[in-house]
Amino acid sequence: MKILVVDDSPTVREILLKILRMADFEVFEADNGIKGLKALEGLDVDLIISDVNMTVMGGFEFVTKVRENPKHEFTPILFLTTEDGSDFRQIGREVGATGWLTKPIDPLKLIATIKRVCL
Amino acid sequence: MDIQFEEFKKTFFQECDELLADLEHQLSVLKADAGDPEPLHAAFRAVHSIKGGAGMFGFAQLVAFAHEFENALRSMRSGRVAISEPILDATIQASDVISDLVQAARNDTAFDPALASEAAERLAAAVGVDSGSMGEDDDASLKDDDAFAAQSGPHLASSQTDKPRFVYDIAFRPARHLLQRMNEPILIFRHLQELGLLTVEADISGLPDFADLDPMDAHIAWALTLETHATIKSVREAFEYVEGDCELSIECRLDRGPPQSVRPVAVVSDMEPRPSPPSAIIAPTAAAAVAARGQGLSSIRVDLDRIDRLVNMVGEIAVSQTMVFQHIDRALTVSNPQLFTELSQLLKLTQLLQDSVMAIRAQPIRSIFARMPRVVRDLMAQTGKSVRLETFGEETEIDKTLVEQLVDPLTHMVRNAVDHGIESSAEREAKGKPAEGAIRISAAQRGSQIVIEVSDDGRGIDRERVRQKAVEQKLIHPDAALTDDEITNLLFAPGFSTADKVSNISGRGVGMDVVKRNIQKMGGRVSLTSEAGVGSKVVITLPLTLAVTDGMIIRVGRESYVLPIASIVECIAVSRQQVKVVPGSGELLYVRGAPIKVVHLAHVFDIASTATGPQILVILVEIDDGHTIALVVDEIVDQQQVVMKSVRENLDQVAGIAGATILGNGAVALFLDVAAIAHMATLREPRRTAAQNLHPSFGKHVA
Repeated sequence: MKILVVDDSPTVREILLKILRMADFEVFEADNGIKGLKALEGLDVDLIISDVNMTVMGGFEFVTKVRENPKHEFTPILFLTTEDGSDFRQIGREVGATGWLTKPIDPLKLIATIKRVCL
Repeated sequence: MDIQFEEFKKTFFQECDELLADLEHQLSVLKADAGDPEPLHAAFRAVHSIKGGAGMFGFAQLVAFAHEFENALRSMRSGRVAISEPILDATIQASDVISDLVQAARNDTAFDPALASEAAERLAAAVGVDSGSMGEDDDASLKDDDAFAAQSGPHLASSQTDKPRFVYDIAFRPARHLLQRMNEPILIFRHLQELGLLTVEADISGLPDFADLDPMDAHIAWALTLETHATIKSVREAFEYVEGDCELSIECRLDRGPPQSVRPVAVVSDMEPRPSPPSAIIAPTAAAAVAARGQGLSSIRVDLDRIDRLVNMVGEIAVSQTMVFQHIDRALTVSNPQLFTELSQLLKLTQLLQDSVMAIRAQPIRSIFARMPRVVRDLMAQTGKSVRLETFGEETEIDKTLVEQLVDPLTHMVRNAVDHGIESSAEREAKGKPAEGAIRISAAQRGSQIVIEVSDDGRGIDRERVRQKAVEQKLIHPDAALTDDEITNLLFAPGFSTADKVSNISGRGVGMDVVKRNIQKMGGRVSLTSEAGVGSKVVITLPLTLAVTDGMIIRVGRESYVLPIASIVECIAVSRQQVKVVPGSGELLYVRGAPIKVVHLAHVFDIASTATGPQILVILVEIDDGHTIALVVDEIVDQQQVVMKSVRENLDQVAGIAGATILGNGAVALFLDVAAIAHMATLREPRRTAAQNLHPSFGKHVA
C-alpha cells in the first residue's frame, strides 16, 4: 500500500516515515502542497497524509486541489495537525478530507487509523 | 498487517545500537580544538534521535539524560565552548552512560539515577552549562521534536482481564453522503472488531430498487453489539470521522454473562420503532483479536549459514522436482487428471516455499541508501557544490548478500554524480538551472528483478570528450561512427580510463568498469544514459534471487553446459556462409545488419563439435550493454531452473566457468561465465594492429 506524506517539518516526516515503513507501507514524501501535487502526478497512492500549516501551499488548498483531480477523487486523505478544534475539522471535511490525525503521533493509533480509512 | 507495539520498540532498540555506534565513532574522531564541526553535529543528531525515540516509548530516565547530553553537545557545536580534553572525557563518559541507559530500557532493568545525574553534572560542569537548563534553541525543528519526546508512550492494553466488561449497543445510520469522504463503514466495523466481540446487523430497509440505486450514496443502517473491556471513548473514536455524517447512538451496559459468550443480541435504540426490517447478520465475529495483543511477535537471530543451507536445499528440491517431472510420462498425466492436479499443486507449493525462503534473506535496501546522505554531504563540503539527495523505494527488499555488495558500486555512482555530474552553483545558475543540484536514488522491484537508478540533473556526459579519450586509448577507430548510447557506454569499457584528468573532464568514467564488473558478479546489469546539459542516469538491474537461476542447457560435442537465460538475447540457426571471416577481427556474423563477434564454444573448450550440417546454431548473448557475442553450440537441449554450485573448492578458478550444476537427468553440467569466454576468445586472436584494435561491439566500423 502506498502512502504520500506531505509535511514541511522534516522531523515529523521522518517520524511518520519510520512508523509507516515499519508497518510495511510504501511511503512517499513531499515537504509542501505544491510538491505534494507534483508527486501525485506520476503516482497512485492509497492514502494521503497532509499537514495543515505549510508555508508554501497549505493543507486545505492542497487537499482541495487533490480532490479536483478525478484520479484522486476517492483517495482517503487524513490531515495531520495540532489544531484540534471543530472549526478545523469542519473545514477539513469541506475541502474533502476523510479524517485527521492529531500530533503528537502515537504509532499504534496511527496504524489503527490507517486501517480505519483504507481497505 | 498486525502491528504490535513491541515491534516498534524492537526497531527502536536496533536503531539505538546503530546510533550508539555512530555516536561512539563521532566522539572518537572529535579532537580538541579541531575545526571540523561535522562529528559534533553527527553526535548531536545521534543523541537527539535516541531522545526522540525514547520519548515515544516513555523511557523517562533515558529522555532526561539524553536531553542533558544534547544540551552539552549543542553548547559545544555552537562554538561557545572550546573543546578541551576534560570536555572530551566527560562526553565519552556520557556516551557510556547513555548506552547503559539504553540497555537498561531494553532489558527493563533499573539504572542507578545517581550515576546518570553524576555523569550529566560532570558534562554540564565541563562545558559550563547549568545542568537541567535548556540550552539555547538553535535548532528550529527541535521544538517539534521535543513535543514528541515529551509524549508518553501509548498504553498497552495488557491487564484487560481485570477491567469490567461492557456491552455497547450501537445504532449507526449513515447519512447519504457519508461514503463520499471515503469513510467506509466496514472499516469502522473492523476497528470495533479489534476491541472485542462484535455482532453486526444490517438494516437494508432503506435500500432503493436497483434501478434507483446510486452506489455513491449510503443506504444501509446498522445495529451493532460490541462486547469489550474498552471504554466508551475508544468505541466512540471508531466513529470519529463520521460524526456529523450519521445518526449515531451508543448505549453502554455492564456485561453480566460469562465473557466471550455469544448470546442472542438484543436489538436496540431509536431504530426499533421502524417497521421490522429484513435484517441480515453480516459479521458475527468469534475471534477476540484483543487476546492476541500484547503477546509480542518475536524474531530470532539465525546464522546466515543456516539460511544459506535452507536456500540451497530448497533450490535442490526445485531441481529434483524438475527431474521427477521429466520422468513422468506426459501421457500418464493426461490419462490421470488427478495426478496432474496433484503435481500442479506440488509445483505451486515448491514455488511458494522457494519464495518464502528467499524472503528470509531479503532486506530493505534502506541500509545502503541511508549511507548516501553522508557521502553527498562530505563531497559537498569538498567541492563546494550544493546538492539535494532524494531517495525513493527504500523499502524495496533485496537479498542480504546483495545489500553488502551494492554498497561500493552505489557509493561510487553517487560520488561520481556529485563530483562530475552536478555543476557548481554558479555554473548552474548561468544555465538557468536551480542552484541546488538534485541526485535521485531509487529502487523498485520489477517482476523478478530489482531496478536501482541513480540520476542527477547535472551537465551530462561530454560525449566528444569521451570519444576523444576512447580514440586516444585505442578503444575505437578514429572514424568510427558511434551512436550516442554507444559512446556513453564506452565509459564502462574495461581499460577506458579518465583517471589522469578526473577533475577537468566532464565525463564520469572513474572506475565505472569496476562498478560494472561488481554488478555483473552479482548477476546484474548496468546501463547509463545521459543527455548533455540535462543530466545522467545509471540503471542497475539485479536478479531477485541468487540461489536459483533460470538456465538454458546447451550441448557442445558430448558436453552439456548451462547459460543463464537472463543473458540470452536470441537463439538463431544460420547457414555457415553467413559467418564472415574478417582479418584481425576473427569471425563476424551479421544479424539484421549489425556485426556480432562469433565465438565457437568448441574452440574455446577445445572439444570436437558434432554439428556438421550446413546450418549452425547460434546463441546471441549479451555480456554487457550494447555488447553482444554469438556463441556457436551444437544443440539447445532444454531450459530449467538450476542451482549453481561453486567449483572453486575442488578445481580452483577455471576460466570461462562460473560453476557447476546438476541437471534433471542427474548429469553434471558446467555453468558458463559468458563475459570470461568472450574475453578468452579475444585473447586467442592473432595480434591486431592499432587501427584494427576494436572493441568487439564496435566491429561494424571495420573498414
